[in-house]
Amino acid sequence: MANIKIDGNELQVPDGITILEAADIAGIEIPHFCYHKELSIRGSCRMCLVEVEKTPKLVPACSTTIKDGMNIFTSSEKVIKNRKGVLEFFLINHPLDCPICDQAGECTLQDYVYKYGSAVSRFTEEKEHFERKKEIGPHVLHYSERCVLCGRCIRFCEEISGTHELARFNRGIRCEVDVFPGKKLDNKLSGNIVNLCPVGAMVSKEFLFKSRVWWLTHTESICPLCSRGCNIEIDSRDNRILRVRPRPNPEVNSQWMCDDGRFGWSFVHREDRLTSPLEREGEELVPINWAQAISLVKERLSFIISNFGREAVAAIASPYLSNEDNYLLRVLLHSVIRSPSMAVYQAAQMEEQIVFPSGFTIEADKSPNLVGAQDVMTVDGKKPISHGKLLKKVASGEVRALYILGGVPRISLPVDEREMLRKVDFLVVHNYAPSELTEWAEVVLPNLTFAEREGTFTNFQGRVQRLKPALLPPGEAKADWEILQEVCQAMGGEMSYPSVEKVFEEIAGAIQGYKSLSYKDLGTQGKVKG
Amino acid sequence: MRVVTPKMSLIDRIYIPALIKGLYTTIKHFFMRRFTQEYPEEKRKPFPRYRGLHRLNKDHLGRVKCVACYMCATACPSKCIEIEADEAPWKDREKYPVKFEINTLRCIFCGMCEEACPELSIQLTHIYEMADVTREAFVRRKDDLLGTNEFWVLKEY
Repeated sequence: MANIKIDGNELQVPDGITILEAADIAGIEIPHFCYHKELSIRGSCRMCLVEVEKTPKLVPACSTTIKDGMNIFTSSEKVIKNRKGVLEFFLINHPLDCPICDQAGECTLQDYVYKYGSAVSRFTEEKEHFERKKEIGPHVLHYSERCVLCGRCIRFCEEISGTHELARFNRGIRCEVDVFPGKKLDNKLSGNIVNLCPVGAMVSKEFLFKSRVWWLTHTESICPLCSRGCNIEIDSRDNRILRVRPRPNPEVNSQWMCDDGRFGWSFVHREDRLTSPLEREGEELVPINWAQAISLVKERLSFIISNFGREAVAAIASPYLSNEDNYLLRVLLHSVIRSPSMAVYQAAQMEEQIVFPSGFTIEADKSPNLVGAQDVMTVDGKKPISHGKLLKKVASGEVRALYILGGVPRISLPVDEREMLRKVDFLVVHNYAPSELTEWAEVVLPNLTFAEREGTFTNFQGRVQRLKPALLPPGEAKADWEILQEVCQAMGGEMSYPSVEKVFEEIAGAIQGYKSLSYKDLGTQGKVKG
Repeated sequence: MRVVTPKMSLIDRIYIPALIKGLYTTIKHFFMRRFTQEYPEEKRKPFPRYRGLHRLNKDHLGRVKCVACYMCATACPSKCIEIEADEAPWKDREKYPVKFEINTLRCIFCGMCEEACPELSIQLTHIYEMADVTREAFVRRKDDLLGTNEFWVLKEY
């Protein structure tokens, strides 16, 4: 431990950290551009220079390590003068097109100039011009003129993604960041560069001119597109998602997320989202109301139970839905109908696992909640079977009614499995849009996507993380747990869960490993199950 | 509550002096400047800084000057401006509004949008005759606002 003094505050900090990190501990802001927590230290922007007692010149806070007895001044006259000077230099060739820059509002240069800069420039000559807008990758646009040459993007491509696409070209005033000739910034993490850029030099092609950032509503959620469960923030406006950004969580995704998740939410706004319950009439599905739908499900299930026995009713849980949704399916099957035939859908598309040099991994399993779905469907220590096995029972005629939870964003069942579904007498499917599951379904109940849903996902590490609803549900669509609760009540079950929290409380009481958890304590970073 | 009526003096009770006083005021106005205007025939000339209907200005090539920076919509206290931006079809410009709507029923004509505009694109004119018969007509669209200028000249304010 080292005893230091920052702006007169005495404090003890661990050895070997830098002045910038020590100031962070002390709660003092030191402006910086090139420093980033997850990247190597370069010290090129000169924005973080601070004064240290008995040192003749100012020192960069990001690359100077703490020594015992250091006396640091972060807002002395010299430091303030330096900041003003550095910012004036940055603004010499900066186009100052904040009104049409997407970064405005979350731009560090803008904030610093407001805080520490000067309102006037002494530069009267013509500004240096570059090719204004360059498409350097499928998701990223580069505006050279706005660049402050901090090099975060270059270091990201070297250290985090390990793909080395970006570099500095030319020298002096013509210096700019660009991709190597013939290359494209098309690695799977390229979207992170947009968040990494402290100014508006790297902007997202998808979000370009969509909205000003101060109008966005931020909702903390979990990415539903692989089992890693990256922590995300959904930025929405007027009930539409406009962009998705990663939320720092050192245990799961550090500060990053992959482009599949970042741009893969378009299914939420599919044109053909289901807005009311549907009933099959011949070839077509016709809309009915919820009361009709629930009583239809009840009637048909009761008919099959009384004719073929309880075991003839089976259910397939979905690893794409939350623990709460799947738990209610277990309640329906296990406590209300008392049938043991429960399975978890597992054919979730498997792709190759991608591991980046920094350790960031895109998981092979593309379902966000397989661990959680299996956990909540485990009865008396007996794990649920795979859906393939259950479908064999269907083929043999053992199972007459099937209750499937859908919610899968992209996949399909193989053709042979799809054919098996035709053999079921009564098929109920929860889904958010028409899919191959609803092709043969007798009743289709509209459920929600991750952006509208509240609940928890358990990722591949066993970390239980919370989703919060960012959007309002389309039409009459409801959360699966609400639908299942109504079905349970119609079937004679006496349960009532007024909120997701109450369902989670019951999961915590009933499921192995969830006993130490409470919904409120999960917070924004989640908790690992026992 | 008991109401106390002040006792009237003799002069008050005669009533004629008060009558003369009132008539004096009336007659005085015969010789003063007239305020009444024959409104529909004779238009009122607003003060130079009067804030009436908005207009969108055009640049020297006749294109909308607005760059869709949303500053007006941000500054607007009644949130009556709705803009949708897109990439501009012109080489020298980057962003332009595909949709620019002002709900003049909601607008309080404070002029904040004009003040916030970095391009001198939105301005409040002297037009005060904005009555209409449908609600939709009060939502002034981009083309309406771009045409305000011609409208203004036509009416010879």
